[in-house]
Formats: sequence, C-alpha cells, structure tokens
Amino acid sequence: MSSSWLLPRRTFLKSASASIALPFLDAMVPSNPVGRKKGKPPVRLGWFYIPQGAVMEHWKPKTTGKDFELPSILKSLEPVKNRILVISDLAADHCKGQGAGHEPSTGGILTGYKCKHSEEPEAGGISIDQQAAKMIGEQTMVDALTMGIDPGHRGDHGYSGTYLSHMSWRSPGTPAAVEYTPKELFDRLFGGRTLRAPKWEEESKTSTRKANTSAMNADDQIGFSILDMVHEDARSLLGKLGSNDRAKMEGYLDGIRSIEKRLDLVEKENQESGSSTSAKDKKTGKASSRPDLMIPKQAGRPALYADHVNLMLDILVMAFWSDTTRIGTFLYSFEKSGRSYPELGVSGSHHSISHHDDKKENLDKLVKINTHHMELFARMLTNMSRIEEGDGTLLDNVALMYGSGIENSNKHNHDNLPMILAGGGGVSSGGHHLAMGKKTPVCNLYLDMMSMAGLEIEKFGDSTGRLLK
Amino acid sequence: MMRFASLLVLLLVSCAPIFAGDEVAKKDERLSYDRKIQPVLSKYCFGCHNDEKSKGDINLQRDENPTLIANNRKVWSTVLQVLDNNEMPPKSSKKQPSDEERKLLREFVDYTLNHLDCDKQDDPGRPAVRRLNRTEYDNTVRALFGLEVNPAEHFSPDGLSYGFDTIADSLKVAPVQVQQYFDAAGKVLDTAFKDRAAYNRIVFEQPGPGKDGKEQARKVIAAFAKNAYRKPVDEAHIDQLMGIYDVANKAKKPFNMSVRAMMQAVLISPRFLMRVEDQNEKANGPYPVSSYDMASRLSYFIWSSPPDEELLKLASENKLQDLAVIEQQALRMVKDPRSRALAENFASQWLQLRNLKDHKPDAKIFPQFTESLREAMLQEAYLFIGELIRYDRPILDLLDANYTFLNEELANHYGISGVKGPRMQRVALTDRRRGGVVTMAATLTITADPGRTNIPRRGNYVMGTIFGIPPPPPPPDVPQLEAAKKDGAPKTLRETLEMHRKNPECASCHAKTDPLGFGLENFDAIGRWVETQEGKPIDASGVLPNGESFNGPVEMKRIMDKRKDDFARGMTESLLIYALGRGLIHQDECVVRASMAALQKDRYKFSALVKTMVTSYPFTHRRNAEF
Repeated sequence: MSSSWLLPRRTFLKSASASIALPFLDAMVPSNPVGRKKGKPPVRLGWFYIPQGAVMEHWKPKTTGKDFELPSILKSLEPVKNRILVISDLAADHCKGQGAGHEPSTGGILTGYKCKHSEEPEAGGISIDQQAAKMIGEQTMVDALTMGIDPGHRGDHGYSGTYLSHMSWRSPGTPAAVEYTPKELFDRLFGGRTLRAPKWEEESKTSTRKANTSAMNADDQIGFSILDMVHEDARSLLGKLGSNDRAKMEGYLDGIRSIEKRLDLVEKENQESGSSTSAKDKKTGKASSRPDLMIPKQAGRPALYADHVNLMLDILVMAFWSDTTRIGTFLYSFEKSGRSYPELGVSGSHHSISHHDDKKENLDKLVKINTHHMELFARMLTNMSRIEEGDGTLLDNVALMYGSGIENSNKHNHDNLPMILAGGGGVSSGGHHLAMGKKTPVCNLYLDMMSMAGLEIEKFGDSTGRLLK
Repeated sequence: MMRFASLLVLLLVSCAPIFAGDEVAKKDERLSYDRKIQPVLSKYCFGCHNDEKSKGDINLQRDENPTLIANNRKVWSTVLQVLDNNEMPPKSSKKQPSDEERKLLREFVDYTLNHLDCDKQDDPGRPAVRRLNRTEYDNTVRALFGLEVNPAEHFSPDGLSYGFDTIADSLKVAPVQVQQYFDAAGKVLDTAFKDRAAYNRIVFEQPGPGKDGKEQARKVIAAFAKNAYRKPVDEAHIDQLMGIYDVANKAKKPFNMSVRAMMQAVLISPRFLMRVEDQNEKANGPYPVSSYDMASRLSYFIWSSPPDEELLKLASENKLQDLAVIEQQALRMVKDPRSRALAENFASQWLQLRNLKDHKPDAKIFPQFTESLREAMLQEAYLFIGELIRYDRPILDLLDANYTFLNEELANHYGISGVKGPRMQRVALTDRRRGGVVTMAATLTITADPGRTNIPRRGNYVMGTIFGIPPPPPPPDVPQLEAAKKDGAPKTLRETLEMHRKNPECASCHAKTDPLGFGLENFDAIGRWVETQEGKPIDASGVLPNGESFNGPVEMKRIMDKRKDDFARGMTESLLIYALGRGLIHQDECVVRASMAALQKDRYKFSALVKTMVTSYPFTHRRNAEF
C-alpha cells in the first residue's frame, strides 16, 4: 500500500510550466497543538444531520448500558459498535419555530438558540462547528468543511428558506456556504498536493512560518500579488458600507485569506520537499497507510444518492486523515426535502412520508430511508476504522454527532431526538446506550465533543452542563 | 436605526395636514399605541399571539410600535380583516372586546397601515450590497467574454428569502464562495484565452514596435475593468492592477500572462462580484442613484444581466436620472429577448416552477414522465410567461388564456392532437380546461406528491401563490385522522379531508383552501386529465365559505377571475420584492397602489407594472449606509 497520493495540480495561473504535481514533504506537523495532546493525533469533530427525524421505535435500543442490541435502523453500525454511543432523551428546544416545524430545525440545531422568525435569515448565534473552527481552524488549510447533497428550498410561514438548508453559521447573519459537488470540492482541497498523513508521533520542529517569498515560483508570486491587491481594495471599500454589508466584505476578506493560506501551504510543501528525503518516509510508513476511498471523476452532482453521499464523506475522511481540516458538517438533505428514493423502493417525497399519520406504509418507508442514511454513515465509520493513525485508527480520533433536530415530523417535536455520538473521541468510549432519563439539551453533548477535541468551553447555547463527565 | 426611523415616521405622520393640527393631536392621543391600543391588544390578543406562542403563525406582540406595525402589513391587514369579520378573538374565548374597543382597534390599524402620503415618499429602504447570484454571475461572465459558459453551475447554492435568490440580505459572502470565484476566474480565463474571438475581444492591444507593453496592458485592463465593474474605474485602481503586471513582468512572464493575471484580480474583485452602489457623501437624506447604478438596477432586474452598451452610454451621459428615459429603457429591455430572464428567474421562483427540476414522480405509477416531458413542461411555462412579458400581454393571461406552447409529447400528454415534432410551438386552445398557469402540467405536478395528487397543497398554492394570501400553518398537535371508516373500509382522500374539516381548529382554513384543490382533482399527479379514480368518477366540485360553488377547472377559473385584483396585488408585491432585493416596508405600499392603479387603467398589461416599478421612489433612490 502506497503511503501517499499524487494529485493533479489545481487550476491556478495555468501554464505548461506550472502544471507539475508537487512532491510531498513531512512538515505538516502543526507547531501549535491547541486541542492536541503531545505526540498524538488531534480529535476531529463532525456533525451529521438527517432531515425529518427518525422512527424511534426502530432507532432507540430496548435496553440501556453496555450490552444493548442495535435496532434495525442502527444495525449497520455493528462492525463499529464499540465506537458508538447512542444517546436518548436529548432535546433542541431552540429548534421550535412559530408555526414552522422544519425551518428552524436545521437552521437552529447547531447554534443552541432560536432562529429569528424572518425572511432575512438570522440564526440565534454562531454554530458549534464554527465555534470550534474559530479555535483550531487556523492550524489547518481549511478551517471547517460544510457539505451537503441538495440545494435548498423556499421557506414557509415567514421563515427564510436559508434555514432549511444551512446548519453551519459563521456568524448569526452569515451561513457557511454549502459544498455539494464532489469533484469541484476534491480539486479545491487536494488538487496539486501529494496527500500524506502528518507524523503525529513526532513533535514539530518547524515553525508556522510562511513560505519563503523570494524562493517562490513565479506563478505563486503572481498569485500572492493578485490576492494582496484585491485584499487591499476590499479593505478600502469597507469604510463605505453599513454594518450589514460589512459582514459580507469581511466574509470576502476571510475568503481571500483562505486562498492565501492554501497557496502558502502548497508553496511551503513544494519548498520543503527538497529538504525531506523520501527514503526516510518509507522507513516510517506505518503511521500513514492509505485509505481505500473513492475519488470523484465527474463534475456536478452524481445521479445516484448513495454515490453522491459516499463521495462527499470520503472527501471528509481524506481531509481528516491528511489534516486538511479537523472540522466538518454534512447535511443528508435539507429539512423538508422532497427527495424520493426509488432505489430503495421508496418513491414518495421524504417530507410527505415523514408526515406519516402513523400509517404503517409510511412508517415502513421512513424506516427504509433512515436505515439507508445510517448505512452510508456506517460505511464511512468502517473506512475510518481501517485507517491506522497513532496507536489506533482514525475512528479512535473523531467525535461525530449524527442525528436530527426533529424527532417526528408528524408531531414537529424537538425532544426525544435521534442522536448518536460516533468515534473514540481520543479516548476509549462507546458501545453504550446512554439514556438521560429526562429531557436534556443537545448542546450539552456539544460541550463534551469540544472537550474531546481539547476545547474547554463552559457553556454553549442552552447547555446546562456536560453529559459524559 | 430603527428608533431613528420610527421617530421620523411619527414626525411625518403628525405633521402631515398642517391645517388640521388640533384634530391630528386629538387623533394621536386617541390612537396612542402605548396608552390606548397596546392595553386592548394585551387584554384580548397577546394571550395567543405572543413571542412564545404565536398561534396561527401570528405574533402581534413583536410589533411594539406603529412603525413596526406599518412595516408588517401582511399580518396587520389580516388583523383588520378578522376584526371586521368578527373572527377574532375566537367565539370560544371568554374575553370579548366591547364594540367600542373593537372600533378603536380597527381605526388604529387602518390608520397605521393606510394613512400614507405617497406624494412625500422619503424612505428607499436600507441600502444593501447585492452579491451577484449564480444566474447573474453566469450572465455577467458571458456578457464580458462573449462566451457561452456557465461557471456558476457548481457554486454553493444561494440563500432564499421570500422564495427568491435576489435578496440582498440573503446573498451573503462566505469564504468558500470566494474560493469558488477564484477557481472559476482561472477556468474562465483559460477558456477565453484559448478562444480566438473572445481573446481578441478582451486583449485588443498587443505590444509591438513603438508600442510599449506596459502602456498597452494598461489600456487593455482599464477597458476590461470598466466592463467588468459596470462603471468607470479610477486611475488609482488601475495603478493597483498594474502592480500585478509589474510582478508578472519582473518574473519574465509574457505579455499575455501578465494581462491575464490582472484579469484574474478583476474577476475576484468585490467590485465585480458585488453591486456596491456609489455613495453621495454630502447627502443628508435619500438621493437618486447614480446613472451607472441605475443602469445596473435596470439590467439585473429585467435581464438578470449586466447593462448593455446602450445603457452604459446613457449612463455616461448621466441620462438615467430622467424618469422618462428610465421608462423608455425599461420598455426597450422588456421587448428584448433577454427579458425571458423575468420568466426564468422571477416567475419561476414566484410560481415555484423551479421545483419541477428536482421533482421525482413515482416512476412505477407514471412511466410516462420522461426527462423530455419534464423539459417540455418547464418550457411551456417559460415560453408562455416570456411571451406575456415581451409582447406586453395582460397579466390576467396567467389565470386563463386561449393559447399555450406545446410540442408533440406535451400535446399528447394533454390529449391535444395536431401538434407534431419535438419543437415547442404556440397552440391555440379551444378547450379551456387548459390555459393559464394553474392548469399547466408543470404547476399541477409540483403541487402533487410523487404518486398522487395532494388536494390541500394545490388549494394552498392557489390561495397563497395565486391569490397572494398564504394560509397560516396547521395548529400544532393536530389530532390523528382516523384512517378507516367504522366498518373498516378505507376512506377516500375527500372523505378524510371532509372529516378533518369537522375539527373546528382545522376547518377555518381548510374550508377556504381545500375547495380550490378539489377543483383541480381531474388533473393527476403529472397533470394529465383523468375522469375516474379507482373506477369511481372524480368529484371536482367545491364550495367556498361564501357559498360560491363550482365544478371543475373551467368554473374555478371564473372564481379566480373574480379575484383578479388579489392576484394582481400578489404578483405586484412579489415582483417588487424581486426588483428591490428586499422585503417590503411601509412606504412600498405606495408603489403597490400605483402599480395596481396603472394595471387597472391599462388593461392589466405587464408594461404598466414594469413602468411603475422602475420609476418608483425606492427603485430610483438610495440613502447612505448607517453605521
């Protein structure tokens, strides 16, 4: 198994001389290990959202504690069961909307506050993934990945449609843009790089210094001069804008900085490759085995849902493994999604089916959709469990929430939520069904996840304290 | 800011008719929100319509002064209506207002909403930068290079507000989007530099004997930037761009590559990606937008595209300050084929036709639903609406018309003979079960479930989208419907819904909407005409709460025609939101009223609407940003 991939260089000032693929180096060990124990891989965080809730009868294990049996929807988690914590009785009161059951469920789930009842979207706060990105995002090429499958839908009852299809908020007024085309995302993240896992067991001796400008190749020098120029120009426009528009320009400036960071990283990889010998890499090949993942070939959105999801999730795995990012969110579809799943024999609209009137035919269909989504998640977890990292596997070093902001679309209720925490979180946990016994804010779980990643926060949204302490 | 605005309105309201100062003062006291009105609302309304509960999606407590009430017209006109009809407070409520209290409340709401001095408009709304949405981005790049490219196809989806992707407050900028713009700029330039025509168009000067490279580069980039930014560029900005040229030149890049680098900077500049309008630093209040900004307002509204040469020329002569010129240009633009953008971007979102792209009818039940049929359905709607706009037909044609556009496949789908081939063609309709938007296959399909019709959804569509009065959401905790009759036989959908309507909580709304859905029951879930369902004849009759009854789509269209002004108002409001890129505020009611008057005067022709809108106060004015 080879320990690295060579990927085509992404389009940037493309000219014959620039389209060489860059060899890799081993200098990606972060020097500022916030959120990371010495010599150990960091814990990566993820939030996975399924729209329209789940059929809890086939989700919630019959018994609590260690020796529980996985109900039908959760069956596919069997191979990774010892890294699964099923958590019952969590609630998201902040997902309650005035008259709207679905809009604030996606929009509010990760913020812990209510969404403003408005066509001009304003979440109650920054979302937990972006909170984490603010704390550790600087250490990786991309601060956080925001991924989805479907574009959105108009909102109803005075709520912006933006709420339905965005759960990640960089600020209350600005949702993170959702990436949903695998090829384009893949190229942007990995194009031109030779992907490798960092050597987590080694402490970095290098600093986070920038690439040496004078030693840069001409194209990258020009690239930086372009970015410098638009950066300066955008800053000059800032003064003319009202507070509302300043947020847009600041998002723009963050975007320019993120491109600089990417350019800098690739350039640094390029420069330092000269000083690192590949022979040395081969000797320590054990820590970075190459995961067997799918690489998108076609532009746009794949026709088959499962292909699309698998491609997106494999990108996330690769990004975690190569330390391109440590934070990700994924929407299986937007809330109120009318997607149908003919490949599962479920032809109706998911949203319509979820208003099931307790009819068996609808519930059966809903279970099929719930099970399918979980299988795709389980596939990703299984892949993670096959990737060696540190003393264990990638799966040991993630903390991933999987669930919904609604339990039952038929009731539009936001308690008794379907929720799972997957991954070792850097410590050995899992193989448990934890029933809280009383309604408990889902934000409490976020505190635990953050803590697993070494990020201690006292309170988030409506949290009342940690779950697992 | 809100406080400032409210003070302003209060001042205006109280100063309006100077001669009647005493009366106004009396009126002000009698209708004082804090002292007189709020206590009444608090006693009878806030119990259910507050920040926490908001029954029927109505929160009256939130609007805590007359300005907020005035800006929340939709909700408070409903209040007026239910007061008039004695619908609220509900009869079951123990607390009922006295006739006097009811009268006072009515007068207050009516005064707050409808006391408008439209000759003295002074509020163009909060200024906001509009980022180009995906459609606008593609059109802008195409116009700039003369290339048929669609780089925005895989960009992150734009946020939707009021159902539209043109709303400034939803067109945020996240870092990922900037990365997408950056990559797209590289790809577009690759394509353009390989395409001789596009290349010659943008790189129109080359260095040569007696022609200094730097000077030529400056000419090229100055022209490119002006086109890209849709307005003149100051020399300092060109100097900045030339800094990139110098870096590239120093690195021994050829002329082309150096120019290309500057162009990449232009294509990711906020001046290209966003519409940042010129400020008038000296202005105290609102002022007319600059001619160049007016050119962009017009072109992105009517064409979803950048201004063309004629608009830019008029802007350079500063002629787009003149309402007559603006009106004349708008009429020219509407007649241009590019006005189809209003069908594909405005109407497609207003009427939700865009949903058809992702709608998946059950392939087992409807094997007839092919991709080519889907495309024909969409094209029918776009061609029909496009013609209405371009050839200035009455907007009432949307409710019913004696023509449509079909190809052979769609004509067969409709059971209409004599249309041959895959090309869409204009077809005269003799049978008026079709004609108009509501009975088009596209509309009938998106308002159905994948496997069957959905009566409440269709009723909701006619009520909310066609009449412009969206019904409130269902109350929470609706009791379960019994799925079977006592004898165990399953109920039909109609029977189930009839039962549903016996529940008074549900009845008040379903009685208004369901009949409109029943009227369309002869159209199946992909819009075909059917006479029977599971062997039984279909009952397409409906009775509205006012006692009016009808049977089938032809008679239902008569009801729709009676409500043509509701329809016209709904369309006007939607078009104004789309045009202004924001939700409506109190004074926008002046534009809506003027549009309605113009429509009624001019046989409901589309041009009446456009003319009023582009010359309206908020479309032609802006004010400086507040900090």
